[in-house]
Amino acid sequence: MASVTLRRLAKRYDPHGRPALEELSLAVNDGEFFVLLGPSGCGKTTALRCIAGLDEPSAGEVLIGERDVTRLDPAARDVAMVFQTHALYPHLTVRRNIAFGLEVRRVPAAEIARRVQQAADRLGLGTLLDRRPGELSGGERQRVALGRALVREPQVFLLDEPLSHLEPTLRAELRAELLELHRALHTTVVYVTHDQIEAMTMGQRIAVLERGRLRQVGTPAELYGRPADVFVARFIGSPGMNILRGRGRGTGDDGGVVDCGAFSIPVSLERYEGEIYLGVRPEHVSLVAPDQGIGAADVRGVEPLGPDTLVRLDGGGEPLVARLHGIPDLRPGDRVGVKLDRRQLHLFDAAGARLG
Amino acid sequence: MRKPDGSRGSRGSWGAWLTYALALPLAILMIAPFLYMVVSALMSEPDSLRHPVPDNFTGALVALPFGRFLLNSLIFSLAVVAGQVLTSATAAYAFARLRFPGRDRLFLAYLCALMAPAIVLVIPRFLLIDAFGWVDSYQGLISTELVSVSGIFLLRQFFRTIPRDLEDAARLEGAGEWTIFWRVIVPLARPALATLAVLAFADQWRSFMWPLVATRSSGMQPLEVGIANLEGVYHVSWSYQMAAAVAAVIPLMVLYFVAHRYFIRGIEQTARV
Ligand SMILES: Nc1ncnc2c1ncn2[C@@H]1O[C@H](COP(=O)(O)OP(=O)(O)OP(=O)(O)O)[C@@H](O)[C@H]1O
Ligand SMILES: [Mg+2]
Repeated sequence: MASVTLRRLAKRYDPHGRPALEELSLAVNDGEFFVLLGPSGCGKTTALRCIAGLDEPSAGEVLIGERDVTRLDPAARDVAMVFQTHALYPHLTVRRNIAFGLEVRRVPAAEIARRVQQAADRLGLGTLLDRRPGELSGGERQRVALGRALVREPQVFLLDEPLSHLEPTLRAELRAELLELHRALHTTVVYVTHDQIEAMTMGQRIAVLERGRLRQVGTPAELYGRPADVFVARFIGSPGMNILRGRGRGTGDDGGVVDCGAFSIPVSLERYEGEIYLGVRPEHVSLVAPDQGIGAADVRGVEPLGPDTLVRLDGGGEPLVARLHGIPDLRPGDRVGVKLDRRQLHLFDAAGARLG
Repeated sequence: MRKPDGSRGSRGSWGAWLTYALALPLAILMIAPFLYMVVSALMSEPDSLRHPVPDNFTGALVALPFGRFLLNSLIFSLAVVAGQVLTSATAAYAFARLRFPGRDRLFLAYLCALMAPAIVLVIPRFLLIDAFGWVDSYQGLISTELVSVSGIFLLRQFFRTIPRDLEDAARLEGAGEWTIFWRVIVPLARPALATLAVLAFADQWRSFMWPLVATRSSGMQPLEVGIANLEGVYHVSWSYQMAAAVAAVIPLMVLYFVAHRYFIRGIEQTARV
């Protein structure tokens, strides 16, 4: 077990193109389940490969525990990785797949057999040991890939979107299994995903990446409750935060107003004037009679989810989503009034960074 | 092999019939010269169409040191195949995966060598083995054939289709380049290696020009050269030649029948690049 520290890590594949990673600094605690979250192409795999030593960073350092491993061979870093593609050896049985790393390191045969059996028991692979990867289902393959990492008893697990190829129910099941495994082993895990639900449900802390840049690090509650910028605000949550673009102006005494589209929204704004982004989560938007609230909007779509319903609105050109309890009696074309929970507004400056 | 798709009702079976109808004339066209060869090997001279005589086979065997030719062919072909598979696999792995300066340019240079007609290389090769004093010896016959550019090309294409993550996974688990090569790449490339081996064997078994130049005595000559000499050394015997040719072709046919599954899979896989 060990912590993982990245210091101003950068990676540039193409000397003229956009870097895949820019000055990424992170500190993953010993024993933590840490999630790297971001849209496709943001550099998540690249970050993992740099930690594993499969890619050499263009700049910066990687520390595992107290040890600087930046120039070390992958094999010397004592990390195990589950690849996005699983990367099981198709010509070997499940047993040999799991044993491969131990065989290569010349662990005695009896010890190998014992550890393979232990990993197989833990993951429920007992009956599959003599099959080949081609004869397994997606979920079973996933477990074998995990088993191969587990059997090495590494200091750090690197998991690259291990569940992304699976169907939703199986995914939820394996999510729980993974967390249980982590609870049992207390090993440091760096878990990569592009799925914010996965990140929110699994991560003790989450780092959000976008185009190779770190946007925010924090607990799920921090990311949801205090997004550091517009990107994180939109990315976390399903659907993400409503972001209205407007202009702030002071009203004198104790605050100001943001004008966006058809809305005039009073905010506790001290000294900010000019362009501004105002964010509000769908659950903090409520609907009232058309002549009440901050302004009127047209209903564009109604999406009942069961316990609640998403209502898509158009307020004079500004799109807005409200999450309402139950299944309200609304139809596209209806005209409604919009009310926002004043205590739950987020303000961002013109560059997208959080204000206050 | 896959069964013809007859299970999907009349349309499927009509398709199968059409396939056979088109394939049959081609098959006849391919096999006719071979049948002719077998038939004329069984005929006596001069009017070979009336009395089939199996004696020609024994005749050919007696008239020539046939066993010696066969042994030479086997030694020559097998040694070259082993060498070519080994050199092609290692070189192809380097060209496909290792990083070193000038790699792709070097590969291109090799490909250019492929463009040179084989005949152009005969004289330099001969001068080379002559300089070593290897004319009319196995080492002279074999050594110049040990590297096959087309073999390197074939395997390089195949290796490039092997997912990189497999190697990286092995690397992370502590495997060095040799371990990765022997325990991951080679087992995965078995169909391609088998394809290369069969193609190379057929190529060497039938090779004529180089053995003709590189050998002098009948003790060193492989079958193809020996059979051709039948004409010069002894009275021209058409039936003998055909009989010898049939005998020479048999090992190749056995090889094809044994290996064709592997072989076809290998060709399919490399063609999918
Ligand atoms: N070997 C490579 N050579 C050149 N560019 C690369 C290479 N690998 C990745 N990139 C580029 O680096 C950027 C980050 O890629 P990376 O694979 O880290 O993304 P990711 O966040 O893992 O995406 P995904 O969720 O789709 O897996 C991308 O723009 C990608 O095109
Ligand atoms: Mg990725």
